[in-house]
Amino acid sequence: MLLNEQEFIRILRSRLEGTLPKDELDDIISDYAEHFSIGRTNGRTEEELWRSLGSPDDIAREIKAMHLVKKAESVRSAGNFFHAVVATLGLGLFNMVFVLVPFILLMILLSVIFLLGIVIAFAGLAGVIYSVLQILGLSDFSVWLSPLAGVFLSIGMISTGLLMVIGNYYLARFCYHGCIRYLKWNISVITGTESEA
Amino acid sequence: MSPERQDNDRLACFVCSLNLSGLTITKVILWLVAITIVSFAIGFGILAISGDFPPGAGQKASPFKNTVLGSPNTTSFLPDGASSGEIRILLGAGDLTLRGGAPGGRLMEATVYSKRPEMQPDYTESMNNSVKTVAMTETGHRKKDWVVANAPESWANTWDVRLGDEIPVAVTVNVGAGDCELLLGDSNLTSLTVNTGAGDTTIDLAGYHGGWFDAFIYHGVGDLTLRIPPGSNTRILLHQGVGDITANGMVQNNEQYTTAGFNPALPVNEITLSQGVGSIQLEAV
Repeated sequence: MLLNEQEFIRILRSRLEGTLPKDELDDIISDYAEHFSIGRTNGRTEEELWRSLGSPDDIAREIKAMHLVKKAESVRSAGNFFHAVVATLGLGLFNMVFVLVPFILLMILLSVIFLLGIVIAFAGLAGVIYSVLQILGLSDFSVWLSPLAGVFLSIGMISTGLLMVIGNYYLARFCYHGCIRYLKWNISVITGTESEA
Repeated sequence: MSPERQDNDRLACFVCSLNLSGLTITKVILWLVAITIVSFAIGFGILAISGDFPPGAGQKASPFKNTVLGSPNTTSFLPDGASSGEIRILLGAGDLTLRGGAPGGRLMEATVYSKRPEMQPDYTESMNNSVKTVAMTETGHRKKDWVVANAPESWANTWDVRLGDEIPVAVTVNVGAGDCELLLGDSNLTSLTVNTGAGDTTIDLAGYHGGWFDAFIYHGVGDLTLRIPPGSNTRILLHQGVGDITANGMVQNNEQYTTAGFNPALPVNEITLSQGVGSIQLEAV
């Protein structure tokens, strides 16, 4: 492989095409072309400039990860967040532990709270129905020590379940912001631009 | 205008009529919090007033019936043409409810709620000279002390036994540790023998219209309530132990308690009651 500017630009462009908008991609490519141009003016060879910049594959991965994290920050969606996490994972094996594990634990926590809320709400609904049937003498099966108390306790369960679902939504939003900040910090640490971030 | 469009307009009008514009998520959350607090307060308040909550020592604090958490196991017995029956129940540790109301034609139907397989009872039935005998015996008590003051939660064992009323039955109940509730107003008895260990016992014969019977009640440790129909010709011979004795609607003569208008010349429901430790309440009201 020839270590010249054209090859560097070709690899970089091919890795970033389809992810970045065209104007943003053109800006990045022109920045690197300018870097090569200034370097040549200063008497450095293209191979030296390539080696000083590093692999275009690594640079493309870092640019892609930062772009997707910023996209997830500006447009909140589960899809954007997922793509940002996957792109950050691609930055190194290190992130398998420091990004993937917390991400999985967070997903499990949010899913458990959501499902628990749904289950409690529906159990409360069933409790209300059974209690009312028992009060009306239509059912011998009883869940609560007292059917009248059961009506109120079941209503309490329904509202508790709904509160858990709503609370889970806000917790997810809070975690979303926290995760984006964490991903940005993580990328800055890996790319060595922590102070800039 | 298409019918679909009309439906959409009706829906839009309905939503507008609800005036939900002022309903923010904050208000929804505050309403839900208020509903939750008030509902639980009322629910637990009702349980507290009815005496079901907080629970007694050794019991798990739960507003649920503990029987719900066990898997019920129901067994029925037919009289098989017998002219009378004999029911023997031996429960080592657990709660027993014995009442009338077995489905038509059955001599006895028992439902057992227990989390432990060894708590499932042994059933035996036999026929002797037109007397059908059914014995229901807890097998688990053989593996531990017969009387346990506070059974662990995992031993939770509740028996719900229903008796039929087509033929008269002689009932023998032995309960080691646990509450015992005998609601026999709908039954038809020839005799009743109750032997309780530790726990509260209620024997309710209110509304009893069956045949004449003799009863022997050996009270252990705990409170006992004996309720008899006020119009019946009943005599209670009480052997006093340790604890208070209160009688409502009954005439006391030394250790004898009789219903108002008691006539010894007529057939008598004779109840012999040996008090153990705990209060006894006799009611004929």
